[in-house]
Amino acid sequence: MIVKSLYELFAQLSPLLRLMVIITIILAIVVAFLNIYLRILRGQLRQNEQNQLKFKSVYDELIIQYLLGESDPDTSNEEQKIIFNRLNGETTVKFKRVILVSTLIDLHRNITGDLLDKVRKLYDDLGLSHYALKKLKNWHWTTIIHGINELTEMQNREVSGEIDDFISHKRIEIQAAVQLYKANVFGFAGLTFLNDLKGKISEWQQIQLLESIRHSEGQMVPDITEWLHSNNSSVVSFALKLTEIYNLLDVKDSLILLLKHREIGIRIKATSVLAHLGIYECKDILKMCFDRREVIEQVAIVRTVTQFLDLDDLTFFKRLTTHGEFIIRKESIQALEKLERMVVARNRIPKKQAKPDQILQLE
Amino acid sequence: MNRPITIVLAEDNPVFASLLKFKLEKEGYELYIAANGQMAIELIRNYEPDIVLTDIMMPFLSGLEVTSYVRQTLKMDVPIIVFSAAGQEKMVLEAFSLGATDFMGKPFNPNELVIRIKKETIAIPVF
Amino acid sequence: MNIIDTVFYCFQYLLFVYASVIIISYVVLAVVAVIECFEYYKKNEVVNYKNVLSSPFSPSISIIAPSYNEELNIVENVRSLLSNHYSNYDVIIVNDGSKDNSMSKLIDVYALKKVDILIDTQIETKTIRGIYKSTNRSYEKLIIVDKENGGKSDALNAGLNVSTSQYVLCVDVDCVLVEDSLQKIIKPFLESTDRRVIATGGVIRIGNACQIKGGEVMEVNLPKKLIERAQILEYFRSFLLGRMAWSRLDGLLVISGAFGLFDREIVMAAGAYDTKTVGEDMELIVRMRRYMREQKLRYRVSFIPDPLCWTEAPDNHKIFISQRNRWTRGTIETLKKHRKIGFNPSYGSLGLVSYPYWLFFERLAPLIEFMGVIVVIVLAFLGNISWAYFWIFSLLILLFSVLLSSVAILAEELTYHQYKNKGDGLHLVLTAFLEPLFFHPVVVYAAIRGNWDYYLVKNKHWGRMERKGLGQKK
Repeated sequence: MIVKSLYELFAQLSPLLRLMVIITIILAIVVAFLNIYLRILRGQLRQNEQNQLKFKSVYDELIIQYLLGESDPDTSNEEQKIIFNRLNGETTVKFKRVILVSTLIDLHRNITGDLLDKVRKLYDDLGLSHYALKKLKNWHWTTIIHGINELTEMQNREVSGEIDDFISHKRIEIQAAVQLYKANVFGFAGLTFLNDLKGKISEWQQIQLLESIRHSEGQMVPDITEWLHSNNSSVVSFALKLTEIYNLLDVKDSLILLLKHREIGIRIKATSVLAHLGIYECKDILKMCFDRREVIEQVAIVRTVTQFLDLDDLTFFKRLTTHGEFIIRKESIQALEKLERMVVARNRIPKKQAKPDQILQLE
Repeated sequence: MNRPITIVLAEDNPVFASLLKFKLEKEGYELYIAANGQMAIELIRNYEPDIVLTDIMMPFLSGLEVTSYVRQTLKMDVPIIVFSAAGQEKMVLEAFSLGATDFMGKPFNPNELVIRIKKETIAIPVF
Repeated sequence: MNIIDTVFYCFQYLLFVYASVIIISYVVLAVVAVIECFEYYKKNEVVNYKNVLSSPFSPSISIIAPSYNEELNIVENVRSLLSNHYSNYDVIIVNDGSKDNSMSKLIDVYALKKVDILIDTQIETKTIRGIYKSTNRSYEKLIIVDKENGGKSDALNAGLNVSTSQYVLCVDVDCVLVEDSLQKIIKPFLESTDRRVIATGGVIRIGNACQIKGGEVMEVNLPKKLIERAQILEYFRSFLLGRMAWSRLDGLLVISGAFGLFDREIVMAAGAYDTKTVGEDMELIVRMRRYMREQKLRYRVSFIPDPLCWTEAPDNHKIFISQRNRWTRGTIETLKKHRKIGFNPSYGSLGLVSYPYWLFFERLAPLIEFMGVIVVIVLAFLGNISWAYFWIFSLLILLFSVLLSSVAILAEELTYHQYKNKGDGLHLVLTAFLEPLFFHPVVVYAAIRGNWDYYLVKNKHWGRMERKGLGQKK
C-alpha cells in the first residue's frame, strides 16, 4: 500500500524532480554501504593491530631464542628444532609471515658477523624467500616492489636471475627497486646496469644507490671513467658523486673535460668536485671561462678558485667585488681579505719557502 | 656470591633490544631496557648501573642528551657506549665531547659488544 | 507575477546545473584522489628513508617559522622544530617584533648571542635588529632573526633572505612536525627527473585533543566539540581528496602556509611573499606557477598525503569565523591579482582548469549558496515555493556531502589510520551527518563576512589566532 502511494507521488513529480529523487535514493544506498564497510574495516584494523602486537612479541622471542640458544651453529639441539618447527608451521598464514619477515629484516639491519648468517639461513630455511619470489609474479606493481625489497633487505644472491628480468620493466619504480637490489647485494659489481642505462636516475635514487654501496664494505672502486663520459647525464652526475665520496684522483682528466659538458648542472658539480679533490690545474681553466658562464655556475667557479687561492688571483677577485651577485661579491671580498693576509705573511717568510702551488704539486 | 654487573640499555628498536638483552643476560649481566631517552634517564637514576649503552637516535631525548644528563646533572662517571648508524659520525664526535666512553657503529656483531663491555667493566670489583 | 515566476524557475534550473557540475567534479576528484593516495601509500610503505638522512648529498633545508607574541609556547615549539631527524637542516625563527618577552626567553633558554652574518637582502623587509645563534653546540642548527614588526609575509621574507639553503620549509611556529617529516617531504623534489619540482605541500592534521609530549604526537584523539570534529572532516576532504587529486592533475593552487617546502631559488626569482595580501600562501604558489609558465620552464607542484604536521584549529566560533574571513579575503585578492591567467589558454591548464575551478567553486560557492537561501526565503514569503523541490534538493546535497566525507574517512582508514580509539569511527560518521547542518552554515557566513569586509570595510584586519598551545590542555 505504502509503496504504491509513494509511487503515485513519484509519478506526479516533474522530470527534474524525479531524476533528483532517483539520485537521492542511489546516494543513500551508497552512503549506507560505505558506512557499513567503514565499520567492518575499522574493526578489522583494530583486530589486526592487536594480533600483530601479540604475535610479534611471541615470534621475536622465539627467533631470538633460536638464534642465540646454541653457540655452535652446526649442532642445533632439540630445543632449537622445536622452535624451528613451531615457526615453520606459522609461515603458511600470510599475516603471520609478514610479522616473521619484519622481525628478521629488523635484525638483519642491525647485526653483523656469524649471527647475520644465521638470520639469513633461518629466512631461507623457513622458505620465506620462496614466498618473496612469489610476490614477483603478482599482477600489482607495488607487490612486486615489496617482493624485490624484501629480497634486497635479506641480501639474497640466489634470486638475482629472477630479479634481473625486471631491470627494464615499464614501471620506473620497479626498475629503481631492481637497481637497489643489485647495488645492495653485489656492491660496485652490481652497478653494471649504468653502462647502457636509457632512463634517468633521479637524485633520490642516486642517494639510495650510494648509501647501499657504502654499506657493502671492503670493495675496490672500479674504473668509472666510462660513466663520467656517459651520454646519460644522470649517470655522469652519479659518477661525480662517486668521485667525491671515494676521492678518485685518477679521473682528474675526465673531470676537467666535464667543465665543458653541455649541461650546466654537471659543469657545476664537476667544478665543486675538482675543488674537493684539490686539483689545482682546473683553476686557470675556470678563470678563463668565467665570463661566459651563467651566474649560478660563476658562483661555483668562485668557490672553487678560492680553494686554491694565491696571489695570482688578486686581479680576478678585485674585478668581482662589483659583480651583480651577492654571493660572488661576498666570496670575493673574503678572498681579497685572505690575500691581504697572505701578502703580509709572505713578506715575513724567508725566500726559500716553497710557494703554495709548489706545495700542492708535491702531493 | 658474585654481584652481577648491571647495564642500562637504551634502544628504540624493540627486536634489537630484546636480542641484546638475551645475549647479555646469557653472559651474566643484569639488564634494564629503555625504549627512549626519557626512560633511560629514569632507569639510570634508579638503578645506578655499572655501564650504560645508548643508541644515538631515539625519541624524546637523544643518546647525546642522555650522555650529557648523566655527566652534567647526575655527575656519574659510569662508562657510556653509544650506538651510531652510518652518517652519524658528527654526532659520535659530539657524544665524545659530552663524555661518552666508546661507540659501536651499527650494524654490529653482538659478540663484539660483549668484548667492549668487558673492557669497560674490568676494573669493577666483583664480590 | 509571471516574470518573477520565470526568473525563479530559471534560477531553480541554474542552481541544479551548478550543483550537478560541482557534484560531478567532486566525484572525479575523489576517485582520482583515492587512487593516488592508495598508490602513494603502497609505494612509500617500503621506501628506506634512512638513506637520505645519512647521505652527504641530501640537500640543505631551512625551516622558517615566523613568530609573533608566542611567549607562552615559543621555547617548546623551537625544541620541537629542532628535533627533526633530517641532518642537513637549520631552523630560522623570525621574531616579528613581538611585544611580549619571547625574545628574552629565547635568549635565556638557548644561550643566544648576537652574531655578524652577511645577509643577501634580495627581498626588501622591515629592519632586522639582529641575528642570534646559540653558544651551546647542541643548538647549532638554530638561527633567530629579530626584526621590526611587519606581518607574517614580511617575517617569512626576512627568513628567506637569511637562509642559504636550497629548500625552505615554511611553517607556523606552533606546528608540531613529525620527526621524519623533512625526509618525506623532500622526496618529491629529488625524485623528479624531467620537471623541476618548485613546491611540495603536506597534509595538515588537527591536533586539538591529541596528547603531545616533547614535541611529538603520542596519542591521536578525537576532540569533543563539533566545531573541532567538523574541521577534522573538512581537512580530510580538502587534503586527502582535494589537494591529492589536484596534485595528480597538476593543478594545485594552494599549499598551506602552515606546512610547505619550496625551492628557494624559484621563490626568490618569483619575488617571495607578497606583504600586501592576507592570503600569502595561495598567492605565492599562483605567482610561482605563473613565473615558471612565463619563463617556459617545465615544473610541477607536488603534494604528499603523509600526516606530518599537527596544528591547533580554532575551537570557538569567534576565532573560527575570523580565520575563515581572512582565508576568503586571501582567495579574492589572489584571484583578482592574477586575473590575467584566468581563461587564458597561454597558461595551459592553470588558466583553463585550475583558475576557473577556484573562481566558481571556491570563490563563488558561498555567494551562490547565500543567494539560494535568500531566494528560498523570498519564495516562502510569496507563498510560491516548491517545497518538494526544496526538500529533495536539500536531502540530495546533504547525502552527497556525507558521501564525500565518508570517502575521505575511508581514504584515511585505508592508509594512515590515525584515529585508532574505539568509537572514533562512529563519531566521525556522525559528524559527517551533523556537519552540513550545523557547521557548514558558519563556514558560509564567515565567507560572506569575508566578502563584505573585502568590498565594504576599509580598515581590514588580519584576525588574530589566539593559541592555547597544543598539548597544553588536559
